[in-house]
Parts: sequence; C-alpha cells; structure tokens
Amino acid sequence: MLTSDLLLTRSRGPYIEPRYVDAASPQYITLAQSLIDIFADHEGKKRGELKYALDRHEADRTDYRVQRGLAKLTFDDHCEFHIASPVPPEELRQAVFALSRENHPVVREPDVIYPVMREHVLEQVALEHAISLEEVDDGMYADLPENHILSTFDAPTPRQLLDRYNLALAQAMLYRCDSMRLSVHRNLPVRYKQLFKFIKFYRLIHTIEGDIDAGYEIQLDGPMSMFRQTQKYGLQMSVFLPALLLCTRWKMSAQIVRKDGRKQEFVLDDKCDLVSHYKDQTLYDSLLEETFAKRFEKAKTEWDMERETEIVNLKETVMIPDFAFRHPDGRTALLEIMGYWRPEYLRRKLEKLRKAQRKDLIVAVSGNLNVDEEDFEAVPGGVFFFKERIQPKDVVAELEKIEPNPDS
Amino acid sequence: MRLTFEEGTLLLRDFGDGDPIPPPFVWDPRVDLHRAQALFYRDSLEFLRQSEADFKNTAPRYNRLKLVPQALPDPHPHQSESIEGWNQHGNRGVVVLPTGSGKSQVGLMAIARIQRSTLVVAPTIDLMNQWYDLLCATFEVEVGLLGGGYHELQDLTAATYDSAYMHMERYGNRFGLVIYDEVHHLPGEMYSHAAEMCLAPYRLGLTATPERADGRHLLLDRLVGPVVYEKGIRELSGDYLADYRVERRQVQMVAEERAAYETARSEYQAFLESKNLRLGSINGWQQFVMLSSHTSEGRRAMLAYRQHRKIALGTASKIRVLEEILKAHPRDRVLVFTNDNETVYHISKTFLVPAITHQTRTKERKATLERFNRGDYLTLITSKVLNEGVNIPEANVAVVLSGSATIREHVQRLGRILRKREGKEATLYEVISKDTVEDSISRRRRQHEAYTEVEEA
Repeated sequence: MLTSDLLLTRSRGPYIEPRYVDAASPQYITLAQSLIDIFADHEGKKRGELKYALDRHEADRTDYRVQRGLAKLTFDDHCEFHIASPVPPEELRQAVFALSRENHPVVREPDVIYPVMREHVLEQVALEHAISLEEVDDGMYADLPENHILSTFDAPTPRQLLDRYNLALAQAMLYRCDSMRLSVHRNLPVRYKQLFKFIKFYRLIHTIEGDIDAGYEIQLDGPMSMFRQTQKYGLQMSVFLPALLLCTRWKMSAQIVRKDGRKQEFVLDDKCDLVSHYKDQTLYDSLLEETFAKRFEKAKTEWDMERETEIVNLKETVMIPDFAFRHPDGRTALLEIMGYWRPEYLRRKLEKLRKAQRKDLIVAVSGNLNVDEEDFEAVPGGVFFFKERIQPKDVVAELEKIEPNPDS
Repeated sequence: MRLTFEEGTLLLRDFGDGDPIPPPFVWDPRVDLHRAQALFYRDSLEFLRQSEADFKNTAPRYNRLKLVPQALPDPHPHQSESIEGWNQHGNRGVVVLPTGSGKSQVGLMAIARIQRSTLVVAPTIDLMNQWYDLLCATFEVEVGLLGGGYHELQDLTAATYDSAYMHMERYGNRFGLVIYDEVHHLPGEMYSHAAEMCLAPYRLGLTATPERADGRHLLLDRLVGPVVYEKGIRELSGDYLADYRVERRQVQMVAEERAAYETARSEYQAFLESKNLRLGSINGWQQFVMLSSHTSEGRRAMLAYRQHRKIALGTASKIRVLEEILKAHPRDRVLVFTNDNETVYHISKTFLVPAITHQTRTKERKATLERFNRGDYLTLITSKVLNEGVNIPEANVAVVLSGSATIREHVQRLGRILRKREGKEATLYEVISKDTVEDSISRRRRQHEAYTEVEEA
C-alpha cells in the first residue's frame, strides 16, 4: 500500500483520477528495472545503505514520487530483512551503558580526571562476550531498522512492479472515499458470492437496487455513514478494490473528499488496465454444480438454465442462489444447492432461506446433511433431497410447480 | 427488545411495536434496524429507563473493578478541585492544566474513583508508553496496549489516537471510562471517531492548550463534555515548578562544516533570487515547495536547503560542547534533546549513553527511564519523542542541542525539568550554532511569555 503523500492525481471537472504510469512505456520499464537492480545489489547489506542508494538515484529527478512509490512497494512485497549480531543488541547495549555509567563520563578527549574513552568500554564488553570490538560497536544498534540486513530479495519483473504500482495508486485514492457505488451486471454466482464475501469481510454495508435483467446498483459505506460523512471506511474500500477487479462486468464510482472538502468522482470499470493481485477463488467452483450444469443441458424441458443469477438482498447479508431458470412463458425460478456440511454453514443457510421468503427459490439438499423436512417448514419454496448427484428431473419437477409470474 | 453495540454504533434488535425509541436513534433502511451513534449510549439508556421500557442491554462489555491505587501522592489542591469539578458534571468533561502540573494524576484519580474498565488515549506512542508505566505502577495490574505494534486489551489499556480511531468500532463497548490525554487532538475530522464510536458513559479530557486554530475545540462539549476546571501556568508556577537558570552556549562550526554550510546556502539562495522568491513572505515557501516538485533546478535547491539546515542543526562542534557540559556535571542527571534520530544515535554511540527515540520498544524504554530515575544511568539522550508530558522527575540538567521554533515544544521541554523537588535547582543549556538559521529560531523561542518570565525571575 502507498502512503497518501505518494498519491499523484489529475482532475478533470467533477472527476479525479490517479496519474497512472504506462506500464509498457520504455521510460518506466527502465526506471523500474534500475530500482530492482539497486535492491538486488544490496542483498546482504544494510537497509540504511539501500535507502541512501535510492536517495542518490532519486537525486534531482522530478518524478521522485513515482520512484518512492515503486520503492515502497518493493520494500513491502519483495524484501526480507534480519538483524545481524552475534549477541542480542539489547543485551549488548545494557552491558555497554552499565559499564559506561561506572566510568561516567566517557569522553573523546581524555584528561587526568576523566581518562576513559569509548574504546576502553567497548573492548571490555567485547572481552566479556568473547566477540570483537567491532562486533560490539556494530551490534549494539543492529536492531535499528536502518541497520537491518536485506537477507532475501525476491525480484519482481518491471511489469509486475508497475502493475502493482498502478493498482496501489487507485487504492490510495480510495483512502479519502466516503461512499462507493457499484454497477454489476450478469456475473456468475461464484463471482457475486466472492464480491459479497469481501464486502462482508471488510465490514462494509451494502444497499442494493435492481434485478437480474437490469443489473444491480450497489451502494457501499459503513455503519457511521448515515450520521456523518466520513472517510473512516476509505481504507476498507481500498483493500476491497482488488476483489472488485475480479468481477467480469462492473462499473465503480467512488466519491472522493478532497482536503478542502470538495467532492470529486473517481470512476473505474471492467475495461480498466488495473490488475488484481488477489487470488480468484472462483476458478475452484464446486464440482457438484459443474456436473449438474452439464447434465441439465441435456434434460428435456422448456426451462432454460442460466449461470448468471440473482442477488437476493437480505439487508444485513445477501443470498446468491447457484442457478437461475427461465421459462418461455415468462416464469423464472432460482436454485440453491446445499451440499456442504459444516454445521455453522447449515444454520446460517437455513436462516437465510427462512428470511428470504421466496416461493420461486428451490432448494436441493444433500441427503448426507444432518437436516430433515422439519428444518424447512418455514421455507416457502420447493425443497427436495438428493444422493450423490442432483437429478435434473427432480429439479424440473419442482420447476413445474412454479406459478406464473403475476407481473408478466 | 435488545440494545446492542455493533461496529461503533448502537442497534435496537428484536424491536417490538410498542417499544419506545430513544431520540438519538434513526431508522437505518440499509439493514432495517434502528441505529444510533455509540456516543449517545448514556442518553439512550437514561431515556429507556425513564420510559420503563422492557429491554435487554447487551451493549456494554466493560467491568466493575476493585482497584487499589498504590503510590499515588497526596493531591495538590488544583488536582482535587479538578476531580470535584468533573464529578459535579456527571463524570464528563475537560480539565485544563499547564504542563508539569500533574495532569496525569488527575487521570489516575478519575480511574480510582470510577472503578470501571478504562481506556487512556494519548497522541504519541511515547505518551501512550508513559501512561502504560503510570498505570502499571499505580494500580499494580496487568495493563493493555493498543498501538506501537501492540494489540493487547486489558481492564486498563493505553492507546494512541491512531489506534483508537482504527479500532474503536470493535472495542468501543469495552470501557466505561475513557481518558483523552492532550484532548485538543480529539476533535479532528478523523480522531473524533474515537469518541463517537465508543459508548463509555464516563469521559475525561486533559490538556494544557484546549484551543485549536480550526475552531473545532467547540466539538469537545459533545464528544467529552464541557470544560470543568481550568488553571493557567502563571497561577501555578511559583508553587509547583522548580527554579532554574538558562545558559546559552554558542558554538562555532568547524571549518569543513562551515564550508559545506555556505555552499548549500548559496546554492538555494541563488535559486530563490533567480525566481524572485522570499521564504519569509506569505506564499514564498509554498511556491518554493511547488517549484521543487516541478523542476529539476528547484528540486536541487530544495535538497540544498535541507542540507544547510541539517548542518546547522547537528554540527560536530556541538558534540564537543556536550562533552564539556557532561564533564561539568559528573554527578547530575542530564537529559539531552536533539531533533533528529540520526544525531541521537550518533551521540549515544559517541558517549555510550542510552537513547530513547520513537523506535525504542516499550519494555526497553520503560526500563531505561527507570534506570535513569534511579541513577543507574546519568545521561539520557532523546529526540522530539518526549515532547508531550513525559515524566522524568530526577533530571536536573537539560541540554537542548537543536530544536525547532515551535513554541509549544519548547515550553514542554522545559516542563520536563521543572517539576518541583525539594532542594532541586535545574539548569537548561541551549546550544546553538553561531550565525546560522538556529540563531533566529532561538530568538523566536525566547519571545514566549512563560519562558522569558522564568528566565528573568
């Protein structure tokens, strides 16, 4: 993450955006490469020396803030430091200061009254610890960050570093965000699930409008936002951003509060060049759902299956069913598969199903789970149990019970 | 109906049709619940009790304590009066007392009186550490820390404003009393959350200087309570602050330093002249900063400017003077202040004396201060980090090797060695380089009322 002082922005009327660097331009690839080289040259050396070398390289360049940003990210993500001293530094210090106290004051220009010099003290401490005078001298403050040794440098490519930098700029922009608006449209349920998992994880509150056909407008802010405008949740939104980038069809508009109180919009969409460094969990969708999807395609029915599904807003949470179905006569339905066995998950899922009160929501429940029909009494939609795999005909049977949509 | 604390706010859950709604609550359509700021917990609770509502209160998670204060000295009249004033305002409000007059003890007395889980919030890691030391010594219980790399919660916990701002939404129900030290920091746009997201019914603010240039100190009334007691430095100094004398030592730079200083100075001045800028003028400095980030020439000039200041502030010649001072006070407790960490560690390694900076870990810092106060160490060198209110009662010589012109900083540095002790006479050395930027810093510094007043006395 970048600190706010390393954020460079550009304003155009009501809009504000970071000054991204062109990750393909020779100018920045050269800059990134030269920084990476400096880090590589300092493996085994002190952090202070590395910083000094970076300062020298910065010299009188006016893009020094880009360079500092790149260096900051390299420090954070690609370096490991360690403390190099044969005796723990704190122990050495105590020994040195205690002995120095006995001979107080230790001086540089000795005379008859004050004859003890620092070298005398260091030498005696060295003897006591069976190490050299230089090791005492270097070791007594080896734990200061400036004196840490760069033990491992895991070099990124210039391209990786520049991509990471552009993303970090967008994230730093969101530190001053007081509310965020997302438009998401026809994403796979796994992506919606992932998105809301992150919204919940970062303790943001959502307001949702829209439907499966029109797409969804999601407003994000935090508990305090209803009482006062606050950038309290800006940091949470900035760590949320890489999760949003994992969606396939989306737009984001964030309201940024400038230092003078003026508001500007920061917009992004799925066509932006930002690259997420979060792992996309959606590639590991459950096998159960995959096999069912394939088998259903072959089933003889007029119902069409869709993977892009609905977001059922339950206020403090959401429910994202695994499949949506559409009949030529206008009827629609949703399918939720309960094949997972953790008790806490079961309890929460049942609670959600009861709260949703949707007649068009069909539930397929694994026979291996510790639940029975009684648990589903307050769930209005169709419920059936399955063994091993879900039979398309069981789903079709439930779909046929769906009543016509009163709106169509 | 249940009153709950969630994410720095209060919620009414399982709300029934006939249940009364306390005025601070509003409908939150995002979650279909009534919500209020945690700040209004006390008001809401009083409302619900008065309307004899049937409700379960699961919001607070703080404890009643049975603390027995040890080693708490007899209070001075202004300290007892502070606590009485605060008590009469329902244990809410701000106490204004000068640095060095024992504000911390007022805080400790409040804790002993309220006997509820308490959070003390301070502006810097070092001040947080200072409270940690004080709470450990006074109540002899395990004390928690939130900030400076620590994340441990206890019935008595010290935190920084930064950490309180970050974590109050999670821990805002864990304390019945919150003490905001240097409370003038609290009304800031961000830090005010540290009061709003917490439900503590009892609140105490401490400060020497409540006013803020942006006028936001007016918010303190809502966040903490009204000013309940106030005394100025002149009303107290005769009785509680030690006598001391000031000695100024001017040093000549050594030849190489002088040459480097002149080179750097002429370089940035040539740039300023070519752009027709004067640093003393209202926007001269701002333009200089702007030019330095847009042009290579300006950037070089800025680097030269920094270089020239650095030479003036941390010269090798000062180390020579420091050696003379240490020789002149072989049995005194000497506290050395300087601006930057680099110089601190340089001096620590030169004279082999302990150092405290913002990089020093809490436990080592505590041990070092204890040894200094016991006399196991005679010299202690620190950077600005001890600026606000750290207790070093045994110090009787202070050496200011370099400093910025900020008036508050200087008065607080003095406050450190001014704490009254029987038969104590304190000396303050101010060591400055001749004919450099420091000269003017020092002149500006001595214009402050409290400073000149004591000096003349």
